[in-house]
Amino acid sequence: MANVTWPIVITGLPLLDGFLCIFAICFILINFIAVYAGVSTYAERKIAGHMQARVGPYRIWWHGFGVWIADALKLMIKEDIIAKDTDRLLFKLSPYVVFAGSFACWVALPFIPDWSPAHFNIGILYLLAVSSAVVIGILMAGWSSGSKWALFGAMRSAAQIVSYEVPIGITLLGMLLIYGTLDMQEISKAQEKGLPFGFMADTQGGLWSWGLNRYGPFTLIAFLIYYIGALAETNRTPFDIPEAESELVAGYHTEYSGMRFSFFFLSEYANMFVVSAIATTFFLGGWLPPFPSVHAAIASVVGGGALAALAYGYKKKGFDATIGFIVGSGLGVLYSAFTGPHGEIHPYGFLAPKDSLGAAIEGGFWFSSKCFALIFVMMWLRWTLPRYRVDQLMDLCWKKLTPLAFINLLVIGILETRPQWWHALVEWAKKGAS
Amino acid sequence: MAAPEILLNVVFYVLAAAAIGGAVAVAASKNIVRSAFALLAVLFSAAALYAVMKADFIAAAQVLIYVGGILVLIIFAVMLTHRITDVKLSNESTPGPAAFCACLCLLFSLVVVILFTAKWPRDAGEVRVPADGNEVFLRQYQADGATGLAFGGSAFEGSVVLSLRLETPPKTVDYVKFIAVSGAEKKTVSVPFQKGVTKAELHDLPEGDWHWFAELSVPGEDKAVKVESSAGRDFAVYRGVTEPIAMALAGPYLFAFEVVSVLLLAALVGAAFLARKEVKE
Amino acid sequence: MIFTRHPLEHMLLLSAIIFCSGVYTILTRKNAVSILMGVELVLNAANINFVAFSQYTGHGGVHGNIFTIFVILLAAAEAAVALAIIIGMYQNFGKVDVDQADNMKE
Repeated sequence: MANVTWPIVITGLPLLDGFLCIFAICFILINFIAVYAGVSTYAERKIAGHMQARVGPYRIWWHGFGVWIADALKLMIKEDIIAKDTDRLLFKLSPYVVFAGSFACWVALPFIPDWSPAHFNIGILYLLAVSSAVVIGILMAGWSSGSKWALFGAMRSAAQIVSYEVPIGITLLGMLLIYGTLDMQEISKAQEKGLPFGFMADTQGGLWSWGLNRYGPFTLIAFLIYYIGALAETNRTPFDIPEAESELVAGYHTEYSGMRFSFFFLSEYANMFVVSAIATTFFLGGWLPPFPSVHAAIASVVGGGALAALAYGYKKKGFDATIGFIVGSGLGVLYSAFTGPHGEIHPYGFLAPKDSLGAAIEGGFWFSSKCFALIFVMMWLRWTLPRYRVDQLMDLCWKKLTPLAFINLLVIGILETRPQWWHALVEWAKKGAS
Repeated sequence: MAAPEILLNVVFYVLAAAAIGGAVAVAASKNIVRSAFALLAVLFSAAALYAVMKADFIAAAQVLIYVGGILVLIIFAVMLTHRITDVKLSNESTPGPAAFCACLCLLFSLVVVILFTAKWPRDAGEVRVPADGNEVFLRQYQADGATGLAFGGSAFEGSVVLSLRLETPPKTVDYVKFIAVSGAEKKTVSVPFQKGVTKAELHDLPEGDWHWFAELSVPGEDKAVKVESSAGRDFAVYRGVTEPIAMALAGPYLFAFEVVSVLLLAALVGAAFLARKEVKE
Repeated sequence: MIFTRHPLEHMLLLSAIIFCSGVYTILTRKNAVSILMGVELVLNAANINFVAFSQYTGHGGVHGNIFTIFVILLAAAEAAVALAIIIGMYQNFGKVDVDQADNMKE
């Protein structure tokens, strides 16, 4: 805090200005979390409905959009029931501990270029560390509820979260070998240039420079392992044994009602955003756009349209046309990386110059879109896959994901520190071909 | 004291109160689960204190390993070693006066040693450099201007105070120019000469190895007298403590790091074996 | 910014108080897990001391921080094995009271 000039000067006293700035930023963030969680519940029910060939919520406002406001109001005015056998202090404290763990992660996320609410140079380590507060809060909730179902649910949930932190940590470690820094903003910036396997390191390759394309299939495997671990971290299906209604009533938040329950709910959705945000920063380019220049955007649309038309003409189905569009736009961006303009076109975004408000808005738009896309996939998986039994869940983590993550780490380490082997291989292949 | 220092002091005392409150609750609580969650308060406060001391990597490692690992294990052990029906678990203790007095004596002796007998070295020591027949004493401090920074040491923040002391100035010296150089970066501060110690502050130094020297400008002479300590690195600037720890773990402490890894593996296998459920025939 | 008003002594006093609370916990508690919590308090107090000396004086260098990292790692290993022993004790005796685990006494 020593030599920091606060961005907004209200009173002129540095101490008071500091507090007011921190309060304002946290106020904005908490409101964003609340609105996002509310709309997310509506989106989940709507998506669930449409995937199950029904409409979901329909009656309140346009297509049921007011359902989340109605739910929030209902939770706020519900009676606050605390059972007799509970440990009252811990019972009241635990929703706030869980929410504090989730919220403390939100302040370190790189929403916009070059500014985070709290900019650490140990970014990702801080995020992994304060997510541990969520586990403690869950244990606190399960114990103080005074019911054995809550306790079992809490212990299973805590064991699941703590177990899946191991493959998550190892995959992120592999990506950190590539980026060389723990700072989230630097990691986003490092995905601006470079084509897969370290070729043409100065090319702005758009989505081909992203983390999950860095070393071909290995970083893609890392992304998938991370995503599966993230599903388990947030207790989402197929890993929602602790919250499944047919299994343990509602797990660790069985005894909670009204506003206390809504805090747990809020924390779950906030946690979903945090793990999606970490995946976005490490694997999907953070706030970078998928195409780095207007030339690449045009090439991606043209390529996507061409391949979509081809796929539709061949198969006559909309799904194949969509896949064709996605593949085509990727190829268009790759084509533009080889033939398009190089150098500092627009370092961060392809629409607005660096360090301007437009770049911040654009960066925030791309970051949020990628996070929401990952959250949509989480919701999609919830209504697609059946639930894992708890022993199957642990088996998956320790016997399958962790060894795979270790092997992946080894391979990424070899690829990262010995690029000359790969370049020599390419040279040899070229010589053999000629 | 300026506002940031007041704020930092307030934060330190609040965190210290939380840590002490938690420690006393661990020692004196009658409910073992409350004890465990008071330990949570102590561990988080200790992590926050490490962050106040600018050891950010250690703060994150403390929360990750202690809170996320050890405390979860302890709470699991508390819950697995009691029957489920007693929510308010009793935590008996034998509060004999002997133990209490022994601890008070220990605390008293520690306080005496800390406050009165031990002289903790603050200054980094001066470097004596001959210049123009006289001797100049150079010294460097960390950001607050009072805590010493050893020559060859690290500053964990981008502010450094450089000082110069002349025993008997030969002629009247007008200005002292302090110049710090690191690769392509160069920072210069000019300060009017003061009898005794002349200090200058350098702010916003980027990371890297820095070497500094002073130029004394005497009125009437064109060329300034250059005073320089031994060549090489005088201090290094790091943001936070991550890079020095990484270089030390890959350097002098590599063997210890590998041994601890093997020891953790042994602890993992041993704990898994010891806690297994015996299958009774 | 680092303090200017002798904060090193205050940090050492804080760690002394936590250390003494930990020693009191170890001496007086009967539950084995409580004794382990006291040991963790003692280790944390020592860690605060190490980091304080490393960061507040100009002489320490990074060695205090390295030692703290190693203490944290070894505390994790020790807590894992100690809790495994305690769980074994619970399976054999039915309770984790250290006063009553005296099978080897005559």
